[in-house]
Amino acid sequence: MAAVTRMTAVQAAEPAFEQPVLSVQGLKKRIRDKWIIKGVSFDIGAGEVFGFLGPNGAGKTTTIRMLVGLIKPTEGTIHVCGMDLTKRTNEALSQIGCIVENPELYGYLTGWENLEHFARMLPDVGPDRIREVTAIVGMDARIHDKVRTYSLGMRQRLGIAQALLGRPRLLILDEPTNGLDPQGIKEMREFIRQLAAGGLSVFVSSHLLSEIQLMCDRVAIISHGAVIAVGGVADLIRQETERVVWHVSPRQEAVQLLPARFPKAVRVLEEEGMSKQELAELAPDAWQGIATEMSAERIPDVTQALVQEGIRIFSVTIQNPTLEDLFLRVTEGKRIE
Amino acid sequence: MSSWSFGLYPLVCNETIKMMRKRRFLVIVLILLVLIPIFSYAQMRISQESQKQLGTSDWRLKTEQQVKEITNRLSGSRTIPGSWRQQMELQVKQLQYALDKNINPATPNGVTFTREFMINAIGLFLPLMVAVIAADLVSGEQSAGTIKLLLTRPVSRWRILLSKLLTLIMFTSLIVLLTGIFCYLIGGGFFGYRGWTEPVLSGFRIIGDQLDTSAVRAIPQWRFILMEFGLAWFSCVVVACLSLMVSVLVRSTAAAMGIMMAALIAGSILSAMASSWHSAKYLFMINLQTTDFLTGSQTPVPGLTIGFSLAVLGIWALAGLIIAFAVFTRRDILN
Amino acid sequence: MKRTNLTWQLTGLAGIVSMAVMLAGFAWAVISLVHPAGAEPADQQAVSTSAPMSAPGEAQGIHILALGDSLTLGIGDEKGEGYAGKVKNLLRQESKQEVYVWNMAVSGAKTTDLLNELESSTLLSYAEQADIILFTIGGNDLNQWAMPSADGTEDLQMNYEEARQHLPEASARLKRIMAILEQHAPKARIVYVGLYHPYPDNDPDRIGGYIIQQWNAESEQLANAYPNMVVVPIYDFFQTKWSEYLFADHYHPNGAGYAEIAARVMQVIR
Repeated sequence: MAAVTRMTAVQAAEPAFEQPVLSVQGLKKRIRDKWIIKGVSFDIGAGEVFGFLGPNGAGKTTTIRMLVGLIKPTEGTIHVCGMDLTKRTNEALSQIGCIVENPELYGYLTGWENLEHFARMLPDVGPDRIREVTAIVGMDARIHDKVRTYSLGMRQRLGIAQALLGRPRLLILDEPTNGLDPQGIKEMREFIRQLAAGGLSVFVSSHLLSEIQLMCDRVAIISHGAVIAVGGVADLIRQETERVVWHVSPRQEAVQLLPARFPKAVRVLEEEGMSKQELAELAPDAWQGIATEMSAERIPDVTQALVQEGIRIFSVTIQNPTLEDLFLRVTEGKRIE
Repeated sequence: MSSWSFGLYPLVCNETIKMMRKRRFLVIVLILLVLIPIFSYAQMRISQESQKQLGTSDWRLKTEQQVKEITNRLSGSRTIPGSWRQQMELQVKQLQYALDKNINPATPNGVTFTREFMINAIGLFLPLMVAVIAADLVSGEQSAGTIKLLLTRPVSRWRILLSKLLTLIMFTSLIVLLTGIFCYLIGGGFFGYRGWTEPVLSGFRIIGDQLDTSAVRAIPQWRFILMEFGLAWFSCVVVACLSLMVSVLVRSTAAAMGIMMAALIAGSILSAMASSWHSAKYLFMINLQTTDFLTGSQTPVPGLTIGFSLAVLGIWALAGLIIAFAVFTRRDILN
Repeated sequence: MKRTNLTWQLTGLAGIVSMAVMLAGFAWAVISLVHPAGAEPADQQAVSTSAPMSAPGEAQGIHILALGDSLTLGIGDEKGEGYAGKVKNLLRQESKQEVYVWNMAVSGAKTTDLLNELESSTLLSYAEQADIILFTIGGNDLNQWAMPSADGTEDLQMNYEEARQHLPEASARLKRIMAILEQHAPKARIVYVGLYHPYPDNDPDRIGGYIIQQWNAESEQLANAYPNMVVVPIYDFFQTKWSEYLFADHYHPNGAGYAEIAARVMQVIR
């Protein structure tokens, strides 16, 4: 048994580039008669930050729970560093550190006691390592306070410290920026990038495209229990047409003018049958202006055309593509419930 | 099996620390520390009252008076239900036997108080205390969400549940022992600390509706108490196992507590009226009063034997554990 | 961190120790309950009882031993005191001393029962400690014989003849009872409370009354042999005011009846 152990350790020490840290193939889950997850496949390589994108209720958390052994898949396989999760569960789990949903730790214990608690469940994790991870997440000052007195951001950090305890090769974080203030979100992003730079693979789920966009190398988009797109973040964003909102006067003339002058390049969403409410979702005041779908490169042309017609321009706003935009496209216009 | 399938020791250590930090155990200790003086005081008032009535602390006179009282109650009312009547008749016979053998059935001291307290506590009070710490063990982790971290560590689920079970049995033992220690220390303050070596009659057996005294022995009180606490402990461990099962099956601690309390209280009500419903003897709650066999009291369902009762309790506990382990190791953690 | 380790070490150790103790107790209990043989029988150890026998009557005050049947027990009294309880209250008021009643009466007791008990049990040791002994007996003997047999006949005629025939044997037992009490309590005031007629309305020929009076007369003669023994008659007021003094069961006295009896008793024990 000792020999096997050593072999595993050696494997872990020499990253095998061809072997993904996490490989998910054809994952499906049925609960009672309902298929909750209908097919999820992706690979994560070493040192990669992988985004898992989908609206609430798309099956992100269920998928993550399968990755960490909380739920048994109905079909499909999960391999962690080449080890089948269902067959060599404990060996596979020892390569993973995770936070599922909220970082729920024992509120009646101190941060340190929480870390001790989870350290006892891992081989070869002593007080030195606890001190180390505490320092990594910058929790030194309050580590001996009861967790119930922590803010959400501190819990998030303690959760990550806990996940790092066992020197995992894969870190799974479920909505790590939830409830953080902008400064906290920024720190979290930098922190994750830093971890990845050190060779750790990070799996991050989120329902916010902007977050994934800034943090991740690659992304999988999940909707209604199925992965509908996997690819580099930059690639996916590039495919998305930008939205531009024009605040002009008189408004009605411009609405008629734009499609007439730029029949292919500019689409006025109002004319396409989008309701006020739907427009409001794109941008808070989009329905007061004119929401269009067009490339940002055409803005000078359009501006010139409007000015020539005597229309006064108050503002031009470029709306970055959002998750919803991406969805509208990849799900062929079907909206998220 | 590999390097991370290490021993249960650190896991039990974890569970113990959590149990202590959650303060539930502390609450139980406090409950004991509040209730035992109250019972001691009530007991002291009773013995003071009888001394005031009789003008003597002679136990024989007191016992004879008791015999007379019960006899008169028996002959005075024909409406006493059969089982109760039988119980009273047996009680008279036991007291009479104690008089004949010149052995005080209840010397007023801290040791006797401890002995009597346990007899009264094992039917409902102690099982409830055990349920309080047990009901929360798994359901508490479920509702707090910490189960997600607990079960994503590279430790098999059955090990985690086993460590919880071992910790629970440890704390159950502690509760039983502490009850004894508190009873002795507090009761001793009221009644005096001597009496460990006083003889107690044990071994009364009920055969049919007759009291069999052939096996009655006078044993020192310390030995009686040790055996009594051992039997009570077994009942408590059974309740602990079943509470653990409920805790696994139910997600909320409140619901788990509710279920166990309902079962235990229903059991104590049933015990008072199950004498004519014979199949009730297969319920675990009816068999919890294991100390009956030591004192020779009538069992809730007449004719139970120690072997039968322990077997019923054992089977319930075992079944509870099998269900608990089967569900815990297989279940999807969805919430 | 230190605190955590200490918590674990202390509780863990305590838990394991208590588990071991309980397990040992459980095993011992099971073994000795399943195989009761092995221990010495109680008889052999009985002598070695270490219970300190405190002398009865250690508390200062007047000690009353009450013996007999339901009358002494106080059945029919709404307050449950009976005449013994009422005597206790009265005596306490008058003497300014604490009064204790050891009521050993048994409901339904007959002369045979009391005699048996006196001869077999330790009641007599209390008689020796008592300052006053109160007792009633015989009523159930007579009543038993006089009651119409429950053979289903509608006839509720009292069978006084039967009672008359058995009277001598019962009074012989009363004589014996008195002798035993006297022997063990020569210094105590011994009070025998006589009989009353519970069915004066069901005694057309006055035969029942005659038998009861005969019993009372005989008891007075028996008691006459002992200077410290008196018989308190209660026949008279139950005869004239039975409806006022009898309980709803038409057999036992009620509270007022007991109060009258207590008043009579008080006259002889003051």
